[in-house]
Parts: sequence; C-alpha cells; structure tokens
Amino acid sequence: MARVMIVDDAEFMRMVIRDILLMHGHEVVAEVSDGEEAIQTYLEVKPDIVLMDIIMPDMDGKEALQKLLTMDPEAKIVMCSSLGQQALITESMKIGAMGFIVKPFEADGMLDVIRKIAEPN
Amino acid sequence: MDMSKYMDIFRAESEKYIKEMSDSLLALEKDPDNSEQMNTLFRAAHTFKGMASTMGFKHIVELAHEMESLIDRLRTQQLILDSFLIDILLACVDSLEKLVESVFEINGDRSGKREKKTENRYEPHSDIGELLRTLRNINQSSGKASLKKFENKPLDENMPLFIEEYDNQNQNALSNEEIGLTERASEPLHQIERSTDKTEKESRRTEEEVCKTGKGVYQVEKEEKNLASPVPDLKPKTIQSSRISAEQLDKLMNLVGELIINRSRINELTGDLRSKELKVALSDFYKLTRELQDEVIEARMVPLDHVTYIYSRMVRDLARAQNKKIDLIIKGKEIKLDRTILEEIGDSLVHLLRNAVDHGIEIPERRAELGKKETGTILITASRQENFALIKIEDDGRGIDIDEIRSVALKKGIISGESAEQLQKKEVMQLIFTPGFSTSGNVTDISGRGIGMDVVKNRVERLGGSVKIESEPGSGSRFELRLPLTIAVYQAMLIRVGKERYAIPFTNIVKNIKVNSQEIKHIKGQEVILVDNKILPLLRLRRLFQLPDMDGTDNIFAVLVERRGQHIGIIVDELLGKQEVIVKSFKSKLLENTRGFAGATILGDGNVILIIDVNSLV
Repeated sequence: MARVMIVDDAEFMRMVIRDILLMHGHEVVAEVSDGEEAIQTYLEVKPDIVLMDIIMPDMDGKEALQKLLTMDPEAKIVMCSSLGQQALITESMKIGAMGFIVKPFEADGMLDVIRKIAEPN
Repeated sequence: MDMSKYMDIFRAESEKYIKEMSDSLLALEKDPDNSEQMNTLFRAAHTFKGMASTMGFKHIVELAHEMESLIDRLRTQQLILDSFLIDILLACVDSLEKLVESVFEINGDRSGKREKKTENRYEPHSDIGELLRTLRNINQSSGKASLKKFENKPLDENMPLFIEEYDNQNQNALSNEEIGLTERASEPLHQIERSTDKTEKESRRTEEEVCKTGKGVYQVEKEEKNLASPVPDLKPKTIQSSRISAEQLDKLMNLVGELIINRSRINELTGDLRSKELKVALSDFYKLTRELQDEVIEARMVPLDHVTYIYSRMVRDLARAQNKKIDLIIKGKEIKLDRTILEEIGDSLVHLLRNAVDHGIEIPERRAELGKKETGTILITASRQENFALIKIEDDGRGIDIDEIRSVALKKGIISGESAEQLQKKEVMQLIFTPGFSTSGNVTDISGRGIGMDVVKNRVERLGGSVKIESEPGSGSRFELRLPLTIAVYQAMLIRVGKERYAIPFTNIVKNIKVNSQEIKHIKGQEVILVDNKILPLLRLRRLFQLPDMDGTDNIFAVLVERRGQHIGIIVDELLGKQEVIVKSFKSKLLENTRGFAGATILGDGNVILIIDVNSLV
C-alpha cells in the first residue's frame, strides 16, 4: 500500500485516479489541482508517491517536479500525460521523475508502476 | 472499470474545457499573438483529450488529438494563426461539443433536466469526417507553410480550394522537399472530390461510431469485473463536492417551501400558548428553517455566465454573416440567479441580442457615414440590486424609430388611426411587445426565427420580473430586464380588499402611498392623483372585483406599482404588511389563462390567498 498524492487540474481525472487507487488498497493522502499547491501540500502530507499531470495551468508538472526534487531529492514522482507529449515525458525523466503513465490509464499498468516504485524490492 | 458513473462529471468538465477553448479562440481572433490564451487553448484541448480517452470515447479523442497537434504547432510558431485556422478550430470546438452531446443522448440523460440550449446557435460543422481530414492535411504538412494567404471562406468551399492553391503555389516556388509534402497533402483532395456524394454516408457513419463509442462504456465495465480484486475498507478522506440533479434541487426547494408554510402555521396555532420553552423552540425552528432556505436557494444559484458564454461566439458569427463589425462586452457575468430563471430567460436574452445585431447595429459603411465608429458595441451589464437582478442589453445602433412602429402597428391593425396619433412616445414603444409585431421589412433567417418580443416580455413577467425599453433614434436602444433572484419564495405585500386578502410581489412595487380622497381628480373618466408632480392613474381593486366602494373614509391606501414602464396606483382597503410567500402556480388547464393572478399562496393560518399579477391586471 502506498500513500499517494494526485496532482491534476481536471477534477474528472482526479476522481478516476483516486477510485482506481482506493479500489486497490492504496491511500490517497491529497488531491491538488496545480503545481503550486502540490509543493505546499507535499510538505504537509509527505506522500510516498506523487502522481503528477504534466500539462496544467500556472505552474506545470515539469516545473513542480523540479521544485519538489530540490526540496526533497528522495521524492518519488510519476508523471502522467496523454499521448502526444513524449518530449515532455523524456525531459521529465531526465529531471528525475521515477516513471510515467500515459492516459488513458489502464488500471493494471498504473498499479504496476506504483507498486514497483513503492516497493522497489 | 465502470466508467458510466463518471459520465456526469465528464460532462460537466467537458463543458468547462469546451468553453475555455471557445473563449480563448475568440480572444486569439482579436489578438493572435497572445501566448497566454494560446497556452490556455492548448491545455484545454489536451486535458479534454485525456478525459475523453479515459472514458473510451475514441472519436472525441481522435478529433481532440488533431486539434491539439494543430494548436501545438501554432504555439511553437510552426504555423501562423489566421482567420482560416480560427474557423477550423472553432468548427472543431463545435464538433466536439456535438460529439459529447451525442454520447449523452445515446446513453440516456441521467443527470436530470438538461439546461436548455439556445436553439439558434450557429450550425456546428456537420461533417466531422471532413473536418478530421482537413486537420490531418494541415498537421501532416511540415515546415512553416504560411497559410496566411487564404481567404476567409466557409470551410466546405474552402477546403478543396485550399489544397489546390497550396499545390499550385508549391509547384511554382518551393523546394523539392516541400513538393514531396505537397503530393502527400494533395492526395486527400482527390478523395474529397470523389467523396462529395459519400458525405452523407460518412456523417451517418460517424454517428454510428459515436453509438459504438457509447456502448464502449459498458465494455469497459465488463473488463473491470476481471480486474476487480477484494475491495479494502478504505474510504476517501473528504469529498469536497458532489453533483445534484436539477430535479432534486427543485424538489428540495418545494420541500423547503412547504416547511416554511408549516412553520407559519405552527406559529399561528401556538400563538395563544404562553410557554416560554415553546417560544424558544419555535425561535430555533425559525432560525433553522431560515438557514435551510438560504442554503437551498444558494445551491440553486448559477452565474449568468452559464448562459452568456456562448454569446461572444454567437455575435461574432451573426455579425460576420451580415458583414457587420460588433464588439460584445459582457459585464457582471458572475452575478448569480436561480437556475430556473436563467433557463427561462436564456432564449429571451438571445432574442434581444439578435435584435441588436440584426436591427440595431448598422453596417460599417453606414456607421461611417453617420460619423459613428465602424465597429458597433453591444453591452450586456448584469448587476444585483437588493432583491433582484438587473440585466441591461444596450447597443449603439440605429435605435427604434417611433414613427415606423406607429405605422406598422397601424398597418397590422394593432392600433386604430385615432389612437395612433394620441399615443405617447413611451406607449408606442410598448407596441413592440404586442404579439405578431415585427418592424423588420424583410425578416432575415436570423432574427426571423426568434421567439418574438411578446414572448420575451411574457416570460420575464411570468417570473415576476419586468422589461423596460429605452431608445434614442440614431444612437441606440437599451433593454432592461428586472428579474427576481430566486423563484418560488419571494417577498410580497399582503393587502386586503373587502373580506379577502391578496399578495402583491415586491418586485412590482415602487412604494406605498396614502391618498386623501379629496385629492383624486378625473381625466377623461380616469381617476388620477398627483404624486411628486406626476400624474398617477389609479385603479380601485374594489371596482375591479365588483365590490361596492368603501364609504366614509378620507384616507385611502394605494400600492404604487410599475407596469409596462408606467406607474399606477392600486387602491386597496388595507395594507397588512410584508410577508414571505411561496408561489403555487396554477397547474390546472382551466386556470391557465386566468388574468390578473400569478398564482396562489398558503398563509400561516392555512388560508389560501391569490397573488396579484400586476402586469395582466386589466
């Protein structure tokens, strides 16, 4: 079981992701809708894993990723994006994201990524 | 996974992103270099695509994806945004909206009553297949192909033409590499030419595909069953918001209404008992019902933006079709009104707006001749007054020609020759609210389909509001809609006439006055008095209800109300004070056409009294 924070500007996406996570035994410790909020909330809830949407208003996922890693180099962040943003995903991985998930999510795929990151052994 | 439970939120969020795209596009049309708007547009398209793909709506994804790619190229300056591309992108937004709608039609509307869409709208691009091809052509072409040269024509005509021109140009001047691309781009052209007769089939197929996509929801559901593992006992920490259907809100409102009636009833019944505890309990009960009522009313409120967001697009399209230049400014979009009121007046606002575009604002050449700015302005201002909302629609167009109205009304037999001469300017203006009145010599297909000014007036008045009109020939018109903020519960003045009590809604009342019967004068058999140096016609309810006049009193009470832009004094026997009333409209067919009364209400003592409708009273 992992304690997950969801960062996505679409309420719809947060709801779907939350349901999948909850249904499979994970805990959703926070849901936020932009990068700025993600940084603030991260310090409060200290999640095991952050699921971070890339394209968001104001501070986007890439920038939030960078800032989170500066704050906590151990932060485990998984980027989420729809098809068509491969370049951004690659950049994010270079910055230090632990993995990525492409929308539409397959529950199995997503859970797999989370499991591998939460329990590396 | 059972995606069907996400349908409602998908729809709500879709609307949000579609609106965002539409707004950004309209802003970009005026200011193509606005990178902030471009980013918003891109984000909205991208997020929307992600949602649709999660729902499994393949065709929405396909279109949104191509759209996103195009925007991405605009954003990174590989392409230059011009009016041709704006048109294509707006067509995309329309089609996306249509696709979302059709998904919900297929799946049955479970979110209760749908907000009434203004039926006028512009026609969304009817052939999604072709739109997709157009987008792919643009997206497949690489490099900085300038599309600037192409004229702004309807998409259907323009598309094959566009590729032909593109083709010719490239053959003349471009490098080999680019010619290679041209060949690719021109392939679909032949398909388009050949497929004109297939277009209908295509669009039918697209619909079928939507059907299939709709079913997809349930396929996904099946897959979910295989995935399902034992559900752990974990609950989400907090749910910030949930969605309630409009139907449920109506029911809640009704129940609150009944509760308030009951509260007054208990109050009356226990008035004689002198228990202190009872008094305290009653006062708590009062506070709680009051709070409940406020909360329910608040929950029913939606911002005006809910109906006005399509107006910018509508005015743009209408103006363009008539070669007019118009700026639409909307102020006070955030003003909240009861959703039922908004639904009811949506069409009316559209009608007034269309009138302003169609009959108000002149063509640029004419405006220049008149020494006006070439671009006309339509201003919608909403503001909240104490108990009502005020929506003004103003234009700086040609205004309303009183003589023209007079002669049309005469021709149509609405007024007689004699009265035509006698009518005051204000009264003539009111004639446009008569059923069947239209000053337009040639009814265009735009305003011609409108609901008519009489309907606008009736709808607003039925809600307990009023419509005011002002116009100065040559400089424009202004319509003022005064609307209650909430329905069902409103403040009213209780009055007595003879043995009966009645209620007059506060929205109609200007003030109460006390009149000395000696001051009453007669003009042509009509009783009047002077109030603030103005002649005020009087109406005796006793006479109207065929009761004998009251005798022996010098002091007469009158309620000064506003009706069709004019003040009149309604003479009553007694003013009983302010009261909150719950309107029960006449549902029976027999009473539907009753004039003079808007409905009934139940008082605390259990008695039913009638609510006077000032507008239809005589």
